Amino acid sequence: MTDKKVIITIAPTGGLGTKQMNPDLPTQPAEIAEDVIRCCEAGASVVAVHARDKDDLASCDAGIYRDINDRIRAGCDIVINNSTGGGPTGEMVGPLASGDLEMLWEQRIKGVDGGPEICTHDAFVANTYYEGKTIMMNASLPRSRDLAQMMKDRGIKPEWECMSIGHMLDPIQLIREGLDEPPYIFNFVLGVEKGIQGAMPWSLKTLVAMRDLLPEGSIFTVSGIGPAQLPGAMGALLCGGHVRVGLEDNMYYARGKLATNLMLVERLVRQVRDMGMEPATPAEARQMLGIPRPATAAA
Amino acid sequence: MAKGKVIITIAPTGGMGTKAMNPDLPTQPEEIANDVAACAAAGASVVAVHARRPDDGATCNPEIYRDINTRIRAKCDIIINNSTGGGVSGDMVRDLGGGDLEIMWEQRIKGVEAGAEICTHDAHTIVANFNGGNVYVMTPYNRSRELAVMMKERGIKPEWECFNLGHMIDPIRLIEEGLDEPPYNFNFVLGAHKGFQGALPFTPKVLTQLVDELPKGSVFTVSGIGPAQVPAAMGALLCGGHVRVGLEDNMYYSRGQLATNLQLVERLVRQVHDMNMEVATPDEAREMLGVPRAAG
Repeated sequence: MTDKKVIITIAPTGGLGTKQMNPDLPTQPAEIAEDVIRCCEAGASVVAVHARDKDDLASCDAGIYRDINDRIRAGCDIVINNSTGGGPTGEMVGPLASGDLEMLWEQRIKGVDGGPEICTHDAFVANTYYEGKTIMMNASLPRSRDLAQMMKDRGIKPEWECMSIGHMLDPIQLIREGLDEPPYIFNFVLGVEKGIQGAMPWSLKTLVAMRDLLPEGSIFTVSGIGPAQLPGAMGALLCGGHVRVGLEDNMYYARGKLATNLMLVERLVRQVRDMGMEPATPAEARQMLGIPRPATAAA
Repeated sequence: MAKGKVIITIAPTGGMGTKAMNPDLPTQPEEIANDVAACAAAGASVVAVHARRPDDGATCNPEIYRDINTRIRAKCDIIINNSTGGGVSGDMVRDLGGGDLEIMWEQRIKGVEAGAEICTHDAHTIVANFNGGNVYVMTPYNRSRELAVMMKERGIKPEWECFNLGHMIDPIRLIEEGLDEPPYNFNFVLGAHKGFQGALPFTPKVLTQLVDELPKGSVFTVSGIGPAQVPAAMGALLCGGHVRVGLEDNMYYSRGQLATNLQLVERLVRQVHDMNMEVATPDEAREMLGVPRAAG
């Protein structure tokens, strides 16, 4: 038994899901803020925000991000992460010269301009599969370096997202180059193998292998996708990590039963306490993640 | 997500604990039976019984085992496992001098004579540290084979207890000799390193290594000792295994708060349900463990 504090990240929206899949998915700024404030009261200390345009299509528009961030900050103290992945729809997607599709880099990097404390950094190249289309996530090392520099210039903490062990290599290189400082924040996304080429299925052994490769001074979160959310969360606790839940990653509470973000946070808080641990407050999470408190709500 | 259901084993008593450590530790037959019946109603499907003499000293006396087993069977349908390890006091120990003790083989093997459906089989030699002295548990291979034969002759399913990877070797040899049939029941006891030399602490990596060494057709349970009980239980669920809890292994519900057997089972049932898994009934557990219903 331990007195360890666990950082619960709520990922309420994501870039893929629709209200047709789950009517409780929050997509517009006021909906997202309302849902996040409830989840924060229940024990979440970080929010992983994705923005959507007025038609619910994916966006990294800094104005929309700022609107969402401001509304969240007006209601709670949660740590805000803005995605630089965006999603596979809307203005995020454009053609490559080959005719294949790409999640446009110039759109993705706009995600750093909405005033978040953390931004996701997907420093890898992978094909994603969405509605019969193949869409490339194309972050070469020079692009990843540019984005890391942009974050550093803005005082934003990168969250290195890794869907497989190989996705840890470019982050480790950029850390060696001095583009991030301890604690390094890694997010292990496990169980997304149906949607992203080369992504690893959830298993405890995979998680242990990834944890063992972390640079010294790292802190990690596990995001289990779909049915991997529950075991991924408990695996994180066993390996000394933190947990992300939310409708971005998993629409269901149990087989055939749709979830809400609040239900997923409430169950996780109960599980954390049954493991003899406690959810971290936003202030504790900032300290553990090495994030200074934002200067103002409009920072 | 593990397929199938989770078998919860309650280990209510053990061979080391005392009422001075935890007043809710059941030691006498009627106390044990009452506690086990409550745990069975809460979701436990196997009980790992240790017997105690009227003075609470450890014993494998078949008359006492049979008394306990009969009382339990009168109250519930739980699967009964009788220990052939016994304990570190009472009838079990021979004084080796210098403060050292040996747990006597001729006493241990009496545990198979009381009509249990499962008996523990500790097919390893290990030294425990108890009250400042050494307690030797001497089980060379020839003894383990003798005990496996006794179980086979009586229709008792062996539960192979392993405190580390090396403890799986002799059970695997005995399995290869035909002294057990699938499903093989392994119990990984993790976190006992302060009391048993060479026992492994619980870590996710240790558990996955043990699981990887299991012979095909095995079923496994994890018994986490002390503070390892909660994480080891969850590790078992994540690796497709089953879980043992109880005061034998862990006296506390949380830091500084003593547990009861029922509290430990109730929390585990809640955790199993929160993982979207289901708890096995005794009949489901019998099928999964390959244990025929005892004649009684």
